Amino acid sequence: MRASDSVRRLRRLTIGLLLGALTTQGARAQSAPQSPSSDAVAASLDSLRSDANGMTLDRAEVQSGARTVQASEHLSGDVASYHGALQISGTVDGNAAAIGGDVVLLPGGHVRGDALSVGGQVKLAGGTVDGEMRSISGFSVGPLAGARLTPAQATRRSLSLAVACYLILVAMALAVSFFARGHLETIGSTIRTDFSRAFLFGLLGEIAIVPLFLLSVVALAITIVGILLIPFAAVAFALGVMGALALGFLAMSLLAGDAIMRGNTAAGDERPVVSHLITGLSLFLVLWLLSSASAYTGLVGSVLRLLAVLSTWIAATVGLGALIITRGGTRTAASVPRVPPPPAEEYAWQTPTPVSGVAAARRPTPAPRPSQQ
Amino acid sequence: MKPLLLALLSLFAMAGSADGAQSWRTLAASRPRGSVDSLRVIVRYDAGRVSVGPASAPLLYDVRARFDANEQRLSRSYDASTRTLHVGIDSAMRSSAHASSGSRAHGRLDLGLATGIPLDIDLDLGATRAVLDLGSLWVDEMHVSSGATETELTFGSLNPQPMRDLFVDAGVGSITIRQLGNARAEHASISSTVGSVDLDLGGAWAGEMPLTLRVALGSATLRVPRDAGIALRLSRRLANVDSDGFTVRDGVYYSTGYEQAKRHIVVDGSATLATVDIIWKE
Repeated sequence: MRASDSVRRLRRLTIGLLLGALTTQGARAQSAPQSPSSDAVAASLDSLRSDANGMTLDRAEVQSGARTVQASEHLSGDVASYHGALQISGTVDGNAAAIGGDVVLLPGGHVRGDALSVGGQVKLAGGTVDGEMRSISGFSVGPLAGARLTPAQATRRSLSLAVACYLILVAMALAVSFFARGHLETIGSTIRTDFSRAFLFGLLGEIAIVPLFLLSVVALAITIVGILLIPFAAVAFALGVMGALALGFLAMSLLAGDAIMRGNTAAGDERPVVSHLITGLSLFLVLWLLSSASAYTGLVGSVLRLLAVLSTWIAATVGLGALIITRGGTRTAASVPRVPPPPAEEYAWQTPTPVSGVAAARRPTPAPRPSQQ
Repeated sequence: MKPLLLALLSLFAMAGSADGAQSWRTLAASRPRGSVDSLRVIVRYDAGRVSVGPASAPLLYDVRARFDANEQRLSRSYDASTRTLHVGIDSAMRSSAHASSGSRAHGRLDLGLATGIPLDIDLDLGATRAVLDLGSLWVDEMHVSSGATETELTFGSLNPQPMRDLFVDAGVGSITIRQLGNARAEHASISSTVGSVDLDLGGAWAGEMPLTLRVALGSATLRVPRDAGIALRLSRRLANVDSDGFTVRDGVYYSTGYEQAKRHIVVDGSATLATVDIIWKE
């Protein structure tokens, strides 16, 4: 398979996923559950019951349109109007509510319970209310009134988070490829040549982050000036760790991009680092988009999420390890010796390979002892 | 690459606009005072500005609020048996992660309380700006705890009865208390972890005003009436206390003419990495 085909396929997959996500959101929005009841009054009463500032009313107590409680009337229960004012001149032992209208207490009007208006006001025009007078501009319960997000909202948030991270990393990739390309290449080549060692160093680095931070705080706390510097040092430390992880992750993305784009660059040409980086990052984006879009699909979603998390973590860890080994990309892995070279002098007498045609050497012999002479 | 970028941006824009949508609601709730002879008020609020002041005459309380129904659920409840009013963001929603900067900037809670009855006020504020005008209220006890906030308390007139306890604890931010003497607090405790404290100790008070002041990483300014004497018993850790003109006896700094003064302020507490300034006012 040619590299350009695989790149095209990756792009098509990403776009397909994004469009799919957009379509799914639209479909979900359109198929949002309707009110539990087709009766608008009943739906409003449901909302009123669920509202923290609402109240519970019986459907039979609600009258559509304006309603008036005459001076001669004495109601033992609640009274309510729907889409009309509620005027009270008589006595109501329970609560009085107007949904989409005012509650007006006229002279002689008396509500022993609470008076509530949704979308209007409670007006005292000579009457009295023993309980609370309350007006709310609308129901507080709605699509986002609960603390928990709906699956559609959670999916949308996950998708946007993945895209936001991707865009940030792309911006970082552009900056790194222009200003620190050499460092990135060095880290990348270290990952390529010594993956397992880079992973080990990265793991150790991650484990050491918290102790290192605590040590630096303790060291700063020894002096007065140091105490004042602790907040700044904490921010600098966090930025440093995040920067190191990001740089390592970018190096790993570059390698992934190299693998996908292999053969797309003519021999002898300098490879386009930016497009390779973006291709590598897009690979991770695809993983995260798949994971986000299938978050509510049970086992498949869980597996995809695990895959995305694991691959991202391994990439960041290996990148961090290579960054540590190369001291931030300033030294090549080859310049850091792993094991001491074997002593050359001991075997220097041995005959070199005859391919090069070098003459055989004679093994050095010790000088004869005086007694042997 | 272009279609990919467009698709990414459109998804991002769609998600962003949906998340940023706000749905403002207003709430107005009041209750006639009736025969209620005291009121306990508990406020939990961390999304915008909050003010506390006197309510109009026949009311026990008057709550007016504006909040974003997409991110918060502000409610109030009154328990007649314990005469307790709860106002605030529901605890399930009371997380800084849920409140956007827009909700914080434009959310508002104005609380009016009955005059003439003893009030026990407990405010737990998050990142808010609080203006508490306690003049003409009878405050029997008051606790204010805040996170990152700017709090102003004004005791514009004399408390009808001495306040049993005044406790203000600010995490990060500033506290300004005006006419603290009018509170007639039997004990006042003011703490600030990071920020500034500005205490005006004026007012129509007499006798002795005990005050506990704890300030760290910041500054405290005490504005003392000229006719009052002040004694500072502060444990200082890398702190600077303006003690010019003070005399030291047994580790306590006394202002000039302390013994002859008609009224006295006794300040206990601590200052750590902070400065404490005394300003005399006419």
